[in-house]
Amino acid sequence: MSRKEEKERAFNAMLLRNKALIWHICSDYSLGKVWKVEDCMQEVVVSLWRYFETFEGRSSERTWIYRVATNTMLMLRRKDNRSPITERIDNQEEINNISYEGYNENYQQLLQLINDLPEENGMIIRAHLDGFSYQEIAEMTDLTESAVAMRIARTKKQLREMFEKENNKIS
Amino acid sequence: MNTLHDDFELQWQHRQQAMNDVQNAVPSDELLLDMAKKAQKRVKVKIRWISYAAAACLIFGVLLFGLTKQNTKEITFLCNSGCSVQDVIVSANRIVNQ
Repeated sequence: MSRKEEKERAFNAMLLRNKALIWHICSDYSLGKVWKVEDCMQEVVVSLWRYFETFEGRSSERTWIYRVATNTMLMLRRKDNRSPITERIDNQEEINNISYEGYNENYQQLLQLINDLPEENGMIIRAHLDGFSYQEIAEMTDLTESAVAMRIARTKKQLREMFEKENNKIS
Repeated sequence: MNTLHDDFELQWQHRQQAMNDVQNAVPSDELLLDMAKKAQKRVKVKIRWISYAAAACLIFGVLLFGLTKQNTKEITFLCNSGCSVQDVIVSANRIVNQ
């Protein structure tokens, strides 16, 4: 087997091992957007393949994938914010209804609040909610473990306050 | 307020379970492998275009360098052949505009 075939085989095996994780990141970041999750996944797979050779195994495979996939999704979001399409704005209400279908109202609200967080805090809180340890999040973000812990505590408090404020307004 | 506090914690826990909930919705292995194939093809095409662009830049650079060197040679020759500064400037302008 040639080196190229070996690399492709290793890459495919890695994708299959982590498909639930990749799918989850894509669907989470595309909430409230018109992008199809499959299209996001294709972009993420392209990025993973592009950087596959640079993966040195210093962090776990799961952490590396999470970092590359998250950065790709953030890049897509930035691109989308720079060149918004009018059609998207017109259909925003419809889009949100479709994207959050199946979730209860308060859960939708929490997801929306997480979606609206600044990029880095959003990434940290999502990784925490997805079960990554402080050490793994520190590797992803180049922060110290104590800084990660502090950010998570602060952001969670901020989210709770916003959640309660919104609900008080409604009731 | 306490109810809201509890509700937030409930939704927080719900979100922590999201990774498990997604297991049923993931695409098939075939679709994922097809995406991998497309990705490999896309990166290969991009690399090919980057190499073409680099080669074109190199050729253009060499040509430009060659022309500049040739012009410099001609101007130096005029200076050494005893022409006045005025003549050299006029000739240099002509060479550059050619």
